[in-house]
Amino acid sequence: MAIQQYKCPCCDGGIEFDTASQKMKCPYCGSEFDVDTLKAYDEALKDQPDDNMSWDSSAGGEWTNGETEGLRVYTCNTCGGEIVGDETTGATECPFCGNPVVMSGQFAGSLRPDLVIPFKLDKKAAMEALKNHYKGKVLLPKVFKDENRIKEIKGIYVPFWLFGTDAKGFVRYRATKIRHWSDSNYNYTETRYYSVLRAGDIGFENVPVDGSTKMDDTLMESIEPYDISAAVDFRTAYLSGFFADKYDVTSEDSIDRANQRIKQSTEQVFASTVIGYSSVVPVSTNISLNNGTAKYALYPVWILNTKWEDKMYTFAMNGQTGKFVGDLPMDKSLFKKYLFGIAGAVGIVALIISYLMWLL
Amino acid sequence: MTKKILAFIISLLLILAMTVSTFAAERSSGRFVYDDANLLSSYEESNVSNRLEELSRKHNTEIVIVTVDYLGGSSINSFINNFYDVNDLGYGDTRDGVLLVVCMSMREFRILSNGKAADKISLDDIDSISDSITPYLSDGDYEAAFLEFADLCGDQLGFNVLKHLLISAVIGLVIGLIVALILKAQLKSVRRRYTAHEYIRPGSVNVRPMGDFFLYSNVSRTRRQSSSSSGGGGGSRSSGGSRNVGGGRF
Repeated sequence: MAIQQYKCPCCDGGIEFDTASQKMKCPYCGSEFDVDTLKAYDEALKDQPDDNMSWDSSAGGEWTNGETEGLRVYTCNTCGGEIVGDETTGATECPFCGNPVVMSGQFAGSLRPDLVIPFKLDKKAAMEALKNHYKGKVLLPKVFKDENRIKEIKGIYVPFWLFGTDAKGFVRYRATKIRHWSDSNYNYTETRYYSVLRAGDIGFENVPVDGSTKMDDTLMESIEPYDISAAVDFRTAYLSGFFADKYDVTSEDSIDRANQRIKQSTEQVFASTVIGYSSVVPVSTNISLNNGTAKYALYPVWILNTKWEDKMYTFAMNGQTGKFVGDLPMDKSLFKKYLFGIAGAVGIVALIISYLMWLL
Repeated sequence: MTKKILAFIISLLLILAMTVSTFAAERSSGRFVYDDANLLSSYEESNVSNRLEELSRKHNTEIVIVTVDYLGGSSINSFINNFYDVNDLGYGDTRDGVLLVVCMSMREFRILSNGKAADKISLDDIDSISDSITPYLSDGDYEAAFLEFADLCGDQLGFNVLKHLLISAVIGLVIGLIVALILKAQLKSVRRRYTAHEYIRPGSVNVRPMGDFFLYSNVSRTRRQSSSSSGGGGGSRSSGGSRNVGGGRF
């Protein structure tokens, strides 16, 4: 498989995508170029037909190489070193000379992404965000903050499937109206039960589902939303300087997750039109989806993996909006200290107050 | 110079304190047992009286026991209320005191708690004291009944350390747990997204009501608590100033 290394037209150094200027910038001579300038590299890809993913056609393109699994080995154009990746590696760094490489073949033909949201925030911003994430977390073990290998934050383009559809929904709700009154002997409660039907249309677009088995789906959902208006047409040049994978979960397999979310949203939006009742609960939902579209997009994510006391902790930052997420470990002894310390203090105060009240 | 002034002020306060306590003792007639039904021998009566005096002083609450043969037509409830008020029982502005009246002809007794004693000895407490002394009264063991009455009153009037300690500990633990769990939740930020609200195409929402159909209705009722309980063995509150009265037959 061919690999592409983007060379600076001025000094022939390895040129990378710069988040601050949103252009290609050479770290050696400092020259900046529009992404379009390096279009020439993409000419080779033009010969192969582009296909927008739709639910009816299946791509089948990913198996053209005849290899189904295992490692792939590439040769670095700059230093000749061996670069080892797996079948999904789309962009990486040469481990010997550090130059960025893009396996453009991974994105050829039917595997070409429709959209990419370029990185808006650089590595420094990611490291700052990580430090901020630690702030104010009282039960975080102090040692965890120090042991983190911050520099190992990686910028990855994560493959996503974006689903759009026109949903026609028919939802039946069970609603109640409750009335209270009393007379001298009894308190009365009357509950009236209603069956409420709502039908309508609701359109969705760009519902994202993570298309890589290597990235935890829940983690990727936590850094949503992305602003789709900043998405641009795909150029392989954007990947230079970052890591990228192509998808290994098909759109068919991803559609279930999108459907779940679409169904929940439909139920809730329709329920908001049911007014004047004490309670509204959906009983049955029928949704039919029409005009479905699936787009293949690459979204920017800063990732850090860390191990602490034999557990893996993963932090992710939205490379466009800067939203930072990641579960942190808890210092168990500190937890106990706070629990019993506060319990003791409040208990003593309560005892004193009850004694004073007794005295009065 | 300042030392002399300090000593003078302290002695003044001491004198004041002593007059207050003697004042309190003089207010009542000093009798704690009115044994008109002659249930106790003179030895037993002085025994009970001493115990009552000791507890009355300790808790600053006048605890008195009255025994009668006949009430002369009035109900035992009105008798006990009248006796307490007419004889101006109870210490301090709030007339803190506890009164036990035993009527032999009716074989009934009543317990009255007034003022601050009514806060410390509630209707439920009176019920439980009544349950404790009823066996002694039925057996005719009057001295034991009255001593038990005195001790139980003393327990209720004293600061019940164990009960308050337990409640404070529970409150402390609950609040401690809430705070600790809030701090723990701070650490978690990875969550699933259950909806796709952000991805709704603006202007594409069109919901039509297809009918609200009434199915059935259900009426349930609960009996209201009546605020007054029947007389006899029940308890009652008087308006203005707290007072609890309860008792029963033996």
